[in-house]
Amino acid sequence: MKSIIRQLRRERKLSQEELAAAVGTTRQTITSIEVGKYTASLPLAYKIAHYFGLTIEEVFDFSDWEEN
Amino acid sequence: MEKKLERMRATLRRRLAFFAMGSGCILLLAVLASTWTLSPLVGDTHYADFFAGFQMGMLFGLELVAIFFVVRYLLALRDDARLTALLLEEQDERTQYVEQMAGRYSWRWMTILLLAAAVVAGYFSIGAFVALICAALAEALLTGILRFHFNRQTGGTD
Repeated sequence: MKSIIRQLRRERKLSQEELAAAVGTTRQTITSIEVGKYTASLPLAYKIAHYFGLTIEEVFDFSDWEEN
Repeated sequence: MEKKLERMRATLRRRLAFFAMGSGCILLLAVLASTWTLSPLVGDTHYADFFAGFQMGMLFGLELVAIFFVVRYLLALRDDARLTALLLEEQDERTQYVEQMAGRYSWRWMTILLLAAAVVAGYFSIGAFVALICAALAEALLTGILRFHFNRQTGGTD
């Protein structure tokens, strides 16, 4: 699943490590989500979106899923 | 987060006790094995030596594992940064997903391999054949019980 996490991080000058610590996961998981290799669970997606002050739909792109 | 860290500290203390006890038991077994108080029940001296060496190697390996975890948990208990890193590592959902997937495929292949090994072993030794069939059945039974348990745990009612 595509997301704009990397873009949001760069705007806020935030490292993957810092974001991971803030949402209670590991840097590797953030990397996997950013490159679209892993789909975050609903709680983690909520935490990430909430951290950036956005909704889940604004951070994650569900268009591929809607087509299927 | 502080509550989570406190729970993690309690968990690590329990694990430390477990590994410390395990380490003690391994050392006791190693002493008994090295003084031949516990020796393999094999008549042939050549095989007895081989088994004794194998067992000592196993005990040495297990002791190293126990010491590794004791040191890891002790360091985490003394340093909050390490404790937080360990907590995040253990609670990470991707790691849990990887473990679930690995477990899901490993039991399937293990059962198939055990049954295949049982068929081959059947040509040479009835004891090995029965042992392998029992291991495959035990694994299938355990999987069934765990599936039933988790199905009930996550299932809803109308």
